[in-house]
Amino acid sequence: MISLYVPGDSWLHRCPAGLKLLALAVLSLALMLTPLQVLAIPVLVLLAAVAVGFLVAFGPGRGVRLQGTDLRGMWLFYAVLLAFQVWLMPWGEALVAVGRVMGIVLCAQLLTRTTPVAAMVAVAEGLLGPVLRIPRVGPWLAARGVRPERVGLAMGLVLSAVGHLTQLATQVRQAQASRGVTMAPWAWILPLLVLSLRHADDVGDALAARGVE
Amino acid sequence: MASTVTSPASSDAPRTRRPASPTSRSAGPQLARIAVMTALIAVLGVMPGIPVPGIAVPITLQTLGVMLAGLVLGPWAGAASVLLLHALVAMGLPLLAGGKGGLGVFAGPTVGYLIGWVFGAFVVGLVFRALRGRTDRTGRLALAAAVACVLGGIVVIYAFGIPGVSLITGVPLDAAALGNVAFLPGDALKAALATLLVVGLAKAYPRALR
Repeated sequence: MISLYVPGDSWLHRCPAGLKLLALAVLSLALMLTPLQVLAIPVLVLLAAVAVGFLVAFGPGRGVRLQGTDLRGMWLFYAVLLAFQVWLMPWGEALVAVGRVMGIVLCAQLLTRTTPVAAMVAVAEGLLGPVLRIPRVGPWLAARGVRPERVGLAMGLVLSAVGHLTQLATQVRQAQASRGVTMAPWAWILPLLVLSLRHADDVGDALAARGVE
Repeated sequence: MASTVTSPASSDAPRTRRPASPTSRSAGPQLARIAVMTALIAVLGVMPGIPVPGIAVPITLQTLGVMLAGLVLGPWAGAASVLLLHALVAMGLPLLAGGKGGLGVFAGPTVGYLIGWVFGAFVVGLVFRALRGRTDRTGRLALAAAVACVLGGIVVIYAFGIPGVSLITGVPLDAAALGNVAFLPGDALKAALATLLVVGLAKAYPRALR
């Protein structure tokens, strides 16, 4: 399983994951609550800052390339959004509205690109601790079996299962192709579903055997 | 390798050794099912979708996975498996359709749909369990699954998705709803597909639905 993280040694990489997440949350909340009319300059500054951020984190060549990838992922959406906005409001405000969404998305992607998955898991487990101590909510979650270490285990299980299921899907399609079965294009899903659930029950047995009950 | 891939109808035959305790609520097996369902939602997003002539919007199978999570796992575990997917995506794993991922997804305009998936899976599970009763009759099962998928997998997801688009982009609600119509044929198709799959699953691996 390949993550979107790109290793590096910039100060953005070294900055603690929790701090980066907090900064992103504050930034996006502030931008969403401010009216569009006064946002033109902040949005320009934000877009420039995020572009510089990509350069600082990954150097000129790779920085531009990564930012291009993250922009391209949503270009269709930005285009549709711009068309809509221009139809609804003056040109200037429409551009600011699109720029705001684009700036927040790029900031979030910059965070993702500079933070290893393990650091994010640590933040998630750290956040779950206090959540479980909230009165009413915490005990309710705990009674349903939510525990920080189990969440970590479940995440690991998903990552290994994605690899296994991809393999199963390929096998099912190859098996059907080799038998010359020309079924509907979705006919491979039922065998995949059955095999996946059987795999889940096997993993469950293995977990039970290791004392996770 | 090839022997592990048999037709679904006969796949359960060599596996009758298991004691009949499928309703056990112990954490290990439940955790494994939640995790594998999460992985299935991710894998369905990677697989090529269904081509529908006349519709420009590419139809990914990811919401089919959300419906299946609710149908197979029930309300709470179904919602948990979608939440688990979102947590992994937020951490930077490219598990959404087209290899998308990262926190940017949750800052973008489709965040409403993603939140809707959690509640959608919950409602699918709730409605399916309530309507299905204790029977395994095909007609009843199909009806329950179809109603559950339309309510949870379409209505609930749209109820979160459309306001989400409107809130993030500033497009008025009615315009966002209009744009959403493009997804309706695909989603209706997926609800039908989920219904067929659950009926097939009840025959091929009845243990899954108990």
